[in-house]
Amino acid sequence: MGTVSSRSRSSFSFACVAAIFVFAAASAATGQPASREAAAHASLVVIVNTQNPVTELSVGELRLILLGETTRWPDGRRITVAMRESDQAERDAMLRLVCNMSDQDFTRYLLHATFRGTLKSSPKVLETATGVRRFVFNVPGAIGYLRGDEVDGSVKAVRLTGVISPGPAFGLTLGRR
Amino acid sequence: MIVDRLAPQARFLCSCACSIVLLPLAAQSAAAQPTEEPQQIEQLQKRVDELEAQVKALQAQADSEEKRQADAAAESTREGAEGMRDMLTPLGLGALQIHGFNDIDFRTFRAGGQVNTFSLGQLDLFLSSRLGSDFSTLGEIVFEADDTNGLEVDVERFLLQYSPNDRISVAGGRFHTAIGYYNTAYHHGNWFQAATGRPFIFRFEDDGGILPVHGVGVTVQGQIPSGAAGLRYVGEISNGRRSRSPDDEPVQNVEDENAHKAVNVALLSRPTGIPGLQAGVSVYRDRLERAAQPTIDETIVAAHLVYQVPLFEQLNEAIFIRHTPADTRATATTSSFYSQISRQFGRGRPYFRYEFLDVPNSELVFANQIGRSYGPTVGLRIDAAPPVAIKLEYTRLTGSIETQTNGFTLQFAFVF
Repeated sequence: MGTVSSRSRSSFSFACVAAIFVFAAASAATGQPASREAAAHASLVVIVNTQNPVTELSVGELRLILLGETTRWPDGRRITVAMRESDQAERDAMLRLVCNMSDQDFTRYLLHATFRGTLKSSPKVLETATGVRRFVFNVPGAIGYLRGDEVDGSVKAVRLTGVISPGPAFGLTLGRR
Repeated sequence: MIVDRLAPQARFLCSCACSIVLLPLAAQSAAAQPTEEPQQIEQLQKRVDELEAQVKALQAQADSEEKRQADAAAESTREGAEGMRDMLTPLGLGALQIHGFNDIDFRTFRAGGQVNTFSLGQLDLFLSSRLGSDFSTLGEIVFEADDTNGLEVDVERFLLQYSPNDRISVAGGRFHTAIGYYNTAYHHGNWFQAATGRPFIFRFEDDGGILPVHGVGVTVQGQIPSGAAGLRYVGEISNGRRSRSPDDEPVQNVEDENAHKAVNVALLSRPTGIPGLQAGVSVYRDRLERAAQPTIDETIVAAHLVYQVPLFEQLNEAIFIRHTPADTRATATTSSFYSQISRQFGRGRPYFRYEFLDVPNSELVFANQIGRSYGPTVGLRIDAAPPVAIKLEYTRLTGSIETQTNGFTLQFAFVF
C-alpha cells in the first residue's frame, strides 16, 4: 500500500512538472520578439555626446544599457541614461520597442535591480526634448533619445543595428538613422 | 576662422587692434618719408605682436571659461539640473535612497490543529547610496516578529561595493549567497515575488532553512567577455554558517567558529538573443565543526534554468547538499527542486509552484527534517496599484516541513 501511494505521488509530481514545462514552452513560443526587419524609419533617434566615439549600437546592446546591465562605454566612461517623463510617448515607445516592457514594468525592474544590488545608477528623467538634448550635450557619457526632427548638431545620432521591432508603439517607430 | 572661434570680448578687442593698426598705417602711407619707413615698420610689427599676445591671452581665458561652464553643467547633472531628477530618488532625499517593503498576512489552516491567524510580515527598510563614481553601499534592516510574538531587528544585508567597470564588482560585508537563483533574486521583499513566500529550500536560516542564504565576507562578480552567451561569474568567500550548536545564530556576523572559510563560485549565462533567459550553476564548499563531533565537509551544488519577462516567468532550480563526515566518509546527499510558473493577465498573475525536498536518513546536520517533503502551491497575485499586491494562495505540503501544510494565505504586500 505504501509502495502504491509512493508511486501515485511520484506520478502526480511528474505530471505537475510535465504540465509546467508544456505551459512554459507554449508561453515562451508566443512571447518571442518578432524577427522580421522593419523598414527604416526616423521617428525615434538614439543620441550620444559628440565626444563619444560610438557610432552604432545593436538593439540588444541598447537594451542592456537601458536596463543598467552595461554601465560603461568602450572607452571606460560611465553611461548615464537620459529618459523622458513617464507620460511621454517617446519613453513608452522606447521601452516597448527596445525592452519589451511597459513603463510600470521598467520602474519595477529598476527597483528590483536596485534591491539586488546590480543597478549602479538609475536613469535621469528630463521633462523636455530640449532638456534631453542639453543633458546629452553636457555629459560626455550620456545617452538619450529624441524624435528625428528634434536632433541637431549639438548631439550625435547613433545608428541602430540588428533586429528592430517592425511595428510602431505609441505611434512611434525606432529609427536606424 | 580664428576670429569666429573667439569670445565676443576677444573679437571686439581684435577689431579695435586692427583699427588702431590699419588707420594710422593708411594715413601715414601717403605722407611717410622713405627714411622713416624701417623704424615705423618695426614699431608697427612690435605693436602687432603685442596685440596678438593679448588676443591669445583672451582666447585662452575664453576657452578656460567655456570648459569651466561645461564642467559645471556636467556636475549639475549629478546634483539635479533644471527639470531633471534621479528616477528612483524621491525629491529631497539626496543621494541616499530608502525604500520600504512590508506585508500583512492572514492564514487559515485546514489541518494540523493550527489556528487561523493574522500575521505581520517583515518590515524591510532598504537603503542604498552612491559614494562617488565607483563606490556604492546598500543595507537592509528588517523588523520582524519571532515565535514569541516579540519584534526583533536584524541587519540582513550590508555591503560596500566597488564597481570600476562591468567586468568586476567587489563587495564586502553581509550579503545574500549566490546559491542558485531565487536567493539573490528574491529575498526579504515579498512584494517582488509572485508567491506569498519563498520555496521552502530557500527558507531563512532562522526559520528552519537548510541553506546558508546569508554570508559575511567578500563577493566578486562581473561579466565575462563572451558575446552572445552573456556569461557572468560570481565568487564569494565568507565565514560560512555556524554549526556548533543549533541554538547559535546561524550567520557568523563577527566571529568565525573555525579558520576554514566557505567558498562559493557561480557561472551564469544570459544569452543576449533570448532576453529573460538565464541558466547557471553554483558550487559552495564549507567545513562544519560541530561540538564534540567529527567535522563535516559540506558541498552544495545548485543549478537553475529561468525564463523571466514581465508577462511570463518560469523558474526551475535543483539543489544538492552533500555532507561528508571526516571519520566515516559516508556522504549523505539531500536533494531538492522546485518549479514555478506564472503569467500576467492584466493586473492578475496566477502562479503555480511545485516543491520537493528529500533529506536522507543518514543526514547528520538536518536530523530534524529527515524524510520527503513535497507539494503544490497555487495562487493569484493581483496588482491593485503599482506599489500594492494582493495575493491569495493555497498550499498543500506533505512531509517533514513544519508550517503551512494545508491552508490558505491572504497577503497584502506593498512597497513604499
